[in-house]
Amino acid sequence: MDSITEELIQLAKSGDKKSLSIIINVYSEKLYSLSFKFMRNREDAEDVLQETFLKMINKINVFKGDSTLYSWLYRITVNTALEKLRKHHPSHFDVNLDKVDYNQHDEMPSFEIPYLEKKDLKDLDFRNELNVLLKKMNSKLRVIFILRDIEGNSVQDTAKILNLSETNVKVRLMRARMFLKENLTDYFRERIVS
Amino acid sequence: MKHVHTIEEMKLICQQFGEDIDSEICEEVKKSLENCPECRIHFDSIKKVVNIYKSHEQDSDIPNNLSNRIIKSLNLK
Repeated sequence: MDSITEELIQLAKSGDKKSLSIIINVYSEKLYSLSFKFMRNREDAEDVLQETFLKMINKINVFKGDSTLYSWLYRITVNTALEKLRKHHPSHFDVNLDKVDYNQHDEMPSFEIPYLEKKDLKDLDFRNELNVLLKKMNSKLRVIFILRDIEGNSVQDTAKILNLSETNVKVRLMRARMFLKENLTDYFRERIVS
Repeated sequence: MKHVHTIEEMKLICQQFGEDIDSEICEEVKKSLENCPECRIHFDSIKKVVNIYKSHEQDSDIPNNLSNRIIKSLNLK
C-alpha cells in the first residue's frame, strides 16, 4: 500500500496508464475478496471488480483525498456490488426489512449451537452449508452482515457507506444474525438428534 | 417457573445486536440475562454464529492473473 503515493495518484488523475495499473495491482486482491463476499461467485466478483476499476479511471479526477484511495475504492466496490445484486435479485430490495416484529421472538430456543474447533470449520459439508445460507440470505441483509460482522466496520461507518441510518443498520444486522442463527440451529439439531 | 420475556427485555437484546458481539455493552446485557437460561443460549448462539462466519470468510481463493486480466480488459496495457 505504501507504493500508492500522492505523486502516483496525481499521475493516475492525468490518465497515466502505468500509475493506474499500479493501483489495480496493489488493490485488486483485497477488493476481489470483498466483492466475492457479497456476490458469492467468482464471475460476478470479478465483474464487480472490473467495473469498480473502470469507475476509478473515469472518476479519479474527482477524488479529493478526504479519505484514503483504498477507502474510496472500497466504497465504490460496495456500491457496484449492490447495483449488481439489485439487478440479480430485485425482489430482495422491494422488502421492508427495517421494522422489528418483537412478537416473532417470543419463543426462545433451548438448543445451543455447539462449540466448534478449527478442524470442524474445515469440514467441506459444513463450509458448503455456510455458503448456501449466505447465498439464501436477502442481499440487503448480507451486505450489512459482511460489512459489519465480517469486515469489522463500525455501525456508523456501515451506515455512511450504505447511506442508511444507524438504526436501520442495527435492525438489518439483527435480522441477518437471526437468519443465520436459526438456520444453523436447525442444521446442528438435525445432525445431533439423528 | 418459566421466564417471561418482556417486550422491553427483547428490545434490549435486539438493540444491542448492532454492537460488537464482544463489546462491553453486550457483556452487560449478557450479565443482565443471568436469570434467563434461554436468553443466554440465544445470545451465546448468536456469538458463535458470528465467530463461525468470521473464520469461514477469512480465506478467499484469488483467481490466477486477476490484476493482469483486469488491466488488459481496461486497455491499460
